[in-house]
Amino acid sequence: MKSMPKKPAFFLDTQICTGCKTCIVACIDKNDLDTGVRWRRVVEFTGGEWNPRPDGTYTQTVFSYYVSVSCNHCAEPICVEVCPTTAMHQDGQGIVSIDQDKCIGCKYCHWACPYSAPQYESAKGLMSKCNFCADEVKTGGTPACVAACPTRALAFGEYDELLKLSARQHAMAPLPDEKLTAPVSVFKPHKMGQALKSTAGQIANPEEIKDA
Amino acid sequence: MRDHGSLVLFTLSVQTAVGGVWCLQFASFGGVHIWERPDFRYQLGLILFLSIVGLGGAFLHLGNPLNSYHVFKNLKQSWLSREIALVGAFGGMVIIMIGVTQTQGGLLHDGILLLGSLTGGMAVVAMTRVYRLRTVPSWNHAGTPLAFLGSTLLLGGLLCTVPLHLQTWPTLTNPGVLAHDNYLKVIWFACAIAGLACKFLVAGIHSRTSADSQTSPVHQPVYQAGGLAAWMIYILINGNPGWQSLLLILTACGLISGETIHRIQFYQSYRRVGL
Repeated sequence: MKSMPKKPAFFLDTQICTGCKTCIVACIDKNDLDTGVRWRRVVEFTGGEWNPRPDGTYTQTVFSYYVSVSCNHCAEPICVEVCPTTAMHQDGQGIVSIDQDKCIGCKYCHWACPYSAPQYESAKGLMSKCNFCADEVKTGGTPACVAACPTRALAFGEYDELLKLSARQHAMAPLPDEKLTAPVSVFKPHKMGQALKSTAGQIANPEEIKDA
Repeated sequence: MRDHGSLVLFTLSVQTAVGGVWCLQFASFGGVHIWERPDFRYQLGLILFLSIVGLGGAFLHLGNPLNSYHVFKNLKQSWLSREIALVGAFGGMVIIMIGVTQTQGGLLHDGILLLGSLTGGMAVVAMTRVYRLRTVPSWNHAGTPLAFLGSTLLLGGLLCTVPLHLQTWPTLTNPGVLAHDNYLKVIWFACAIAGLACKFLVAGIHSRTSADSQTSPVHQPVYQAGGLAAWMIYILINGNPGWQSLLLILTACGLISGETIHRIQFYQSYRRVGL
């Protein structure tokens, strides 16, 4: 039987992610989340243009890729840092979880997290977030989002092992600068992946990913 | 950031209360025996009322206030935890101040007032630090502490002037009382001017750092300039009490409207990096 990795992390190969959002649906279904509460979200980043050439033909630099993001269980989690009650806490394996018995629903963690990982459940007046589907993982399973991914773009495992799958990690728009919170996750960049803070593209589905 | 009404209430109420204590402290530094003044208790009462209103606003903001007894558990790391602790301590200091007004104090009174001013100052510092998040560049700049300091001085001066006016209404014909009260009015007006100077600096920083706001940026300076003009006329014209009251009402309306708009704009300017 598998057990929780020593330093668990998600991996996303943005080259093969099709943006189908099955991961979101699986997460909502597994965790029975309310409408509008999304522990995982898929961001579509798109841009580029068509440039006319003197002979009347066109060249193009159009690109579009998807980034499926949930909590990155950062090494320097700002949500843990700002939480007044210690409801948001990090264990020895680096997993950031929330103790709802202590949460006051001030939403300060949500303001601070650059990934919008902590989500507000208005029905309960509390925050909630991804916990790697700890119950599944303890019984030898994988997180629901990873298990459901039809293209196997998403993976879950030991952080150090996942790092070997990508020459560089995380340095891609529209993700924030990793120096802010030191996320413990690996994003294999898309071949058209734009540099951090790139203004060449934009999030194409802002309404879809905005907070409830 | 759609539910920021309660936070506007919390921050403005507490900053006004702290500003009120600071203004009393400045008057004390200026040689005024404020503990012996009849309006002092009114001022402290208003300050306590605003502190309670502020804390009530903070409670309204919470999704689950029943768990709020946990809020002091992260004093080591969280500025929000420190802010709540310091605002609570400030409220406690105001209660002590009200309690000791009945006693003969002298040095003890001055010490308690100073301690209250310092606790309030630390509460405002903690309040500014809450918004200095490294992931929120639209707040993480010098404009945030300046704006909060400006509001504290501006509204504090106003808060102290209102009970002074109410208390001295019947004695306006006494030249001795008038001269003394005018001195206080000038001290507190100077606090407000210092607050407004902070606000001007904020306007410069704000225009460089962001932010598209849904509220017209023109309204706030217009209200505040109108409020200050009315205040200046109130000081200069020591005549009909009715006119003076009207001027003070205009001052309060202008300044409070301006500050409220500015604070709403502050919350609307929230822009986080990332997703």
